[in-house]
Parts: sequence; structure tokens; C-alpha cells
Amino acid sequence: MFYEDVKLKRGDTVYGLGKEYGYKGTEWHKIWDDPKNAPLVKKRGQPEHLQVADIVFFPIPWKTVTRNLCAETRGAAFLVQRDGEPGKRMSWVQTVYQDNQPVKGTTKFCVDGCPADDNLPFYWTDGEVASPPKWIQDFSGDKKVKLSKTFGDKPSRNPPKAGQDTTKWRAIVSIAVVTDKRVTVYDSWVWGFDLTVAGKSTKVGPRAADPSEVAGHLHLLSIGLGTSADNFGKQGWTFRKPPA
Amino acid sequence: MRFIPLVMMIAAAGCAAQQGPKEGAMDSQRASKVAVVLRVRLIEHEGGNKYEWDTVHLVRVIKNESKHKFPDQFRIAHDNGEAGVPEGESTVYLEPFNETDESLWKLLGGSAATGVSHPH
Repeated sequence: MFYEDVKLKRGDTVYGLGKEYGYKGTEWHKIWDDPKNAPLVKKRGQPEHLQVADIVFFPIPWKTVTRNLCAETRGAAFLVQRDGEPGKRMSWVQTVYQDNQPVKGTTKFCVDGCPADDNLPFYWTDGEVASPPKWIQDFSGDKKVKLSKTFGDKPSRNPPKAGQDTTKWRAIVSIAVVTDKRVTVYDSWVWGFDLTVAGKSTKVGPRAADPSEVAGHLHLLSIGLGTSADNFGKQGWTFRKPPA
Repeated sequence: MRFIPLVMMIAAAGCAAQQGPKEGAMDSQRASKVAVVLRVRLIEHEGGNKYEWDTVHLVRVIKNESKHKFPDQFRIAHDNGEAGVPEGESTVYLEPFNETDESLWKLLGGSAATGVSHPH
């Protein structure tokens, strides 16, 4: 669990922001009553008395609860789901190492989707969040799947050509908490597949990313490209581990 | 005099059959939803990450209201987990893959179920 510090803007409420960070509306008191917010509660008394620029700490207890990885004919399929409620400020990020088979027009390392399907660093586009594609409904087995709670991917490749090494496709996927252009990344999982020249696919992982892998993941997110020429870092996005 | 037109008709029909269907190879309802409708032949399924890519050969432009001039060979995306461009020749209904790169296109609805008709 960690705290997402949020400087209030006009119109923000603990109730409304709580819903955006994955709480039920009725759970606003879990935020208000958290000891981390005690000085603010003492100062303002009631949530209705909060003022612009006050800082509220939102406890983020959500964690991945489903991590199903299967080998497929030419790749792998990975489904990840977290607990908590959906929320507009809860998302997913994934960085990918495409080894010896990068998708044409992309580099070995990239921020998924690669090539970019929008100019945001998140895995799902806003359109997909609003209306989940059929494939992820089918994959998750939930026609009403909420993509702020669910990650799914089914990467594939042709077998490497004779003379090439085994394709070692790897990715790191994380839960992302989004406050303006600051993205806090946690609960990171390494997964992927090996695909031999003979066409045999073997799943790799999932396992928790180690600190050096998380550091690389954060760096890739910063230098990753969306649909504009400037990388996400230059566009003002920042990526961090949860504050201690 | 009556024999010659009949031979010409048979020849024309044979020629049309060899080239594959033309006007009949398009679903007008789907075509109305997109800027681009093409007749293509699959070269290769490439795979991909969040999306999979199919390399195709352009057989014929049925409708192109985009500014992009499609080359003889190009790639079409579809959602991973969905069927893509089928083997052989088919009609594809394309929507832009993203908002900036005019060379990247995706099957309507991200799937052959909505973005492909008239496989041949």
C-alpha cells in the first residue's frame, strides 16, 4: 500500500477523487479517516471545507489478483486483473522487448501499443476503456469487463527464420496510478515467451519484476513514443515508483 | 450476326470470373462506415504485440476517400485474439490505426468479423 498525494483543484472532492482512484463512492471515509490525512482533517474539519491546493493522501491498496499466462501456438496470452473498483485514474502500462522480431516500424524496446495507437503512455486507449473490444471481453470471459481493472495481451510472431536465434519476447506490465501527468507504477510483472525456429512456443513467467527491471521499465516509459515526435518524457509525463 | 454477340458475352463473363467479383465484392453498409475499401490478397500473417499485422498485396482500390496512396504491398492491423485478413483474396474495410500516421490502417472494428467480406 502507498499514498498518492493529490493537490486539490477547483471542483475536486474526496468522494469524486476516491472513485477515480478505485474506491466505491461509499468508501470516501477510508480516505478521510486515514491517519495520513489527520493533519488535514484537523485543519479543515469536514471534507466539504477542503480548499484548492490542499493535499489529500489517497491510500492505494489495490493489487493484482489474477495473473494467467498461457503458451499459444505462436506466442502467449496473459490476463491480469486487480482488485478494487474501476477508476479513471487507474490504468496499465506495458513496455516490451521484441528481441529479433520487432514489429516493422518499431524498435526492439517500445511502449505498448507499438506502433503507438494513441499519444498516451497507457496500454488501453481512451476509446477502448469506454468501449472494450470484443476480444478482451472474450478473453476475460466478461462482457462487462472494466479495462481500468483488467489487462490482457496476446502477442504472437512467426517462427524465426532458419539461422536466427530463438525469439525471446518479453514484457513488463504494471498497474499505473495517474495524477495529471505523473504516473506511479507498481505491482510490475515480467512475462513473455520463447519461440524457436521449429515453431515451439514456451511461456516465460510471470514473475515479479526486480528493482533493476522496474528501473528499466520506468526509463523506457519516459523515452517511449506515442504518435507525436516527442517522447513521453518530453511531453511532460513523469513515471515513478510508489513513494516510500 | 446473332452468334458473335453471344460469344462476346461468354468471353466477357469468363474474363470477369477470372478477375474475381467487382461490384458484388463490397458490402455497401460496411463501406459506408469507412474511408477505405480495398480488394487485397494475403501475403503473410506477421503477428505483433497489442495488435497483429497482416502483410497484403493490393489487388484493387474499391473506395479510397483518404489522402493515402496505397502501395502494392502494405500491412493491415487487427486486434490480437481476433481473426485477421484471410488466406487468398478478400475485401477489407479499413479505419485509421491512429490519428497521425496515414500509412497505418486497421480492419474495421479490429476484426475480420467486421472488417472483411467476400473471401475468395
